[in-house]
Amino acid sequence: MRESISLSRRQLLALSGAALLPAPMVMAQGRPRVVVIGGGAGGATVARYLAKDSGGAIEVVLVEPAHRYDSCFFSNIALGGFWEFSALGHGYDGLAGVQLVQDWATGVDRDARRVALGGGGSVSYDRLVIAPGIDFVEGAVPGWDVASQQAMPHAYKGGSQIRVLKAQIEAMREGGTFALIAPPNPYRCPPGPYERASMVAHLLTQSNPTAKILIVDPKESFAKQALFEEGWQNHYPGMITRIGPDFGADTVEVRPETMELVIDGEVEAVDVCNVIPAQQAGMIAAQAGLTDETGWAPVRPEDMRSRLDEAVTVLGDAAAQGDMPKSAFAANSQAKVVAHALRAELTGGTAPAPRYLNTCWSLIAAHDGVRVGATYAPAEGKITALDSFVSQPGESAERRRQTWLESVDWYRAISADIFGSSSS
Amino acid sequence: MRRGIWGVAVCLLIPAGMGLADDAATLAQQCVTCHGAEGEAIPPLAGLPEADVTAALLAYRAGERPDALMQVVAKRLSDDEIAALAAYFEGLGP
Ligand SMILES: Cc1cc2nc3c(=O)[nH]c(=O)nc-3n(C[C@H](O)[C@H](O)[C@H](O)COP(=O)(O)OP(=O)(O)OC[C@H]3O[C@@H](n4cnc5c(N)ncnc54)[C@H](O)[C@@H]3O)c2cc1C
Ligand code: HEC
Repeated sequence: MRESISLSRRQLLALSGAALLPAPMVMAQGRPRVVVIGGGAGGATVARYLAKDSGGAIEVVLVEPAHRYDSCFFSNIALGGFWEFSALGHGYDGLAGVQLVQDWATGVDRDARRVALGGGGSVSYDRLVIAPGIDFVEGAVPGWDVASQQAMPHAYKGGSQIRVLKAQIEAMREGGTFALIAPPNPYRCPPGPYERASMVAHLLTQSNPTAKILIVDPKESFAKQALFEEGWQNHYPGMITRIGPDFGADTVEVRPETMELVIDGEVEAVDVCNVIPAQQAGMIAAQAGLTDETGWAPVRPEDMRSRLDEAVTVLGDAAAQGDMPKSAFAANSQAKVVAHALRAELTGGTAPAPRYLNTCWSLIAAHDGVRVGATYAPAEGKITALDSFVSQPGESAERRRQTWLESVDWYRAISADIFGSSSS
Repeated sequence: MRRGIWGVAVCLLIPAGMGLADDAATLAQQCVTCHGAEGEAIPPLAGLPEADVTAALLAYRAGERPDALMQVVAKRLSDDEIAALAAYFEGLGP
């Protein structure tokens, strides 16, 4: 048995090397190459698992411009003062066996299977994974563009924006107004804007108790709404007002120079304005021609493979997959399914049936944590929710404290799972 | 199909045991998103006695041990998978 396999192995290798492997680099090295664009929750997990579990049989290249990832997840917790901002940073040194290309991917030639790099070079692939997160839809909030992000921060894409926002809250005049413009669906982290409002209220209750928070929301309703509204009533009575589309919140305009909002023709002066615009897949997905008219990249629910190109997988926030929310948990869960599928395809074997999972924890006030989550599987051509759970209004303080502690344990565990244990 | 031939070719270069199966290590990848090396509210699983993990997962799955989260996680595990996971995590212990 062994002999006959090693014999056919030589034959098959000769055959595949000559006829089947497209890129010269790959032929020379005799192993398939997977290029991953984006070293965030989804991309770093795929890269790490592929390198770790393929025993060197797959060459894994990660293209990511930053040398450090500042997570959005838990950035609201740091904004609220419960964590240091520095605790959100993770390096890439824990990704053993992954070749890191510190650069932007600036284009994808899908016919030649080649990724162009900002620095001028390019890297070829046998399989490409695109996990670039989100970009904002231009003109989504009239008057706002990325050039206004110092005056009116979004703090929704990692980096230093969250610190800018915190400094503005601390500098707010007594009794001033903090405005938050929430995005329309779909967007990353459905409870994120409301956890944000909660953490701002927590800060203001201590430092500026007569200040007000105004949420301008284009949506009729939002994630964990009953839980947030109950919590705001209990912890921050009278501080938070939310207006919906009935009051013109879906057509709000901003004036960053004068710190004004225009809602239904009425001009409102505010002191801090957190603009979270409508979102779409990270630009590189559109540049690669893998997005549809919605701005997101349609994928198959079995393995997150693009519906437009068999050789490309899109995962995390950028993908239109069905019922999973756009979260770090979801991106990490999808990444494991993708790693199984790519290993099975490239190195043989059968991938296990995909099982997806998500949980989103949110903090409403000190020790008042809530959670929502579900299991998912492919069905009806999309990722479909199976069983779900959610925190209940009126839960005991002890249950809520436990839920908050869970979220802290989750942050540590998932960070190690994404970046490897030497992440710092 | 191209995929088939290529898959077989490269697969044979890999040492035995590296092949993909729906094995305990693969199943456990779902767990480590929450269960890390330390944790107060989400206990580490590495080194827990096999019988305890089995009992806990069976109880969550049956709805006899409360925790809505672990109940949905356990609900999609078969008896065999629970046994494999329990043995796997005990084996990771010191
Ligand atoms: C305030 C806030 C709170 C949140 N809280 C939670 C939470 O509690 N739990 C949770 O699960 N999720 C949470 N999220 C959501 C979570 O941050 C995202 O869903 C998650 O990061 C998505 O992962 P991703 O891999 O798709 O994208 P990202 O993590 O954004 O990673 C994308 C990476 O791609 C890189 N990139 C982009 N374009 C290119 C290019 N052209 N070339 C090379 N690299 C590129 C970027 O530099 C980045 O590193 C929160 C988000 C926010 C904003
Ligand atoms: C989304 C987060 C999450 C995931 C994923 C998860 N768990 Fe849990 N697990 C928890 C939480 C929270 C608890 C504590 C529940 C309680 O209070 O009983 C727990 C408790 C447990 C316990 C009881 C431990 C003890 O000492 O009492 C076991 C066993 C367990 N989980 C096994 C698993 C296994 C096996 C998996 C993977 C198939 C898994 N868990 C996936 C969050 C998770």
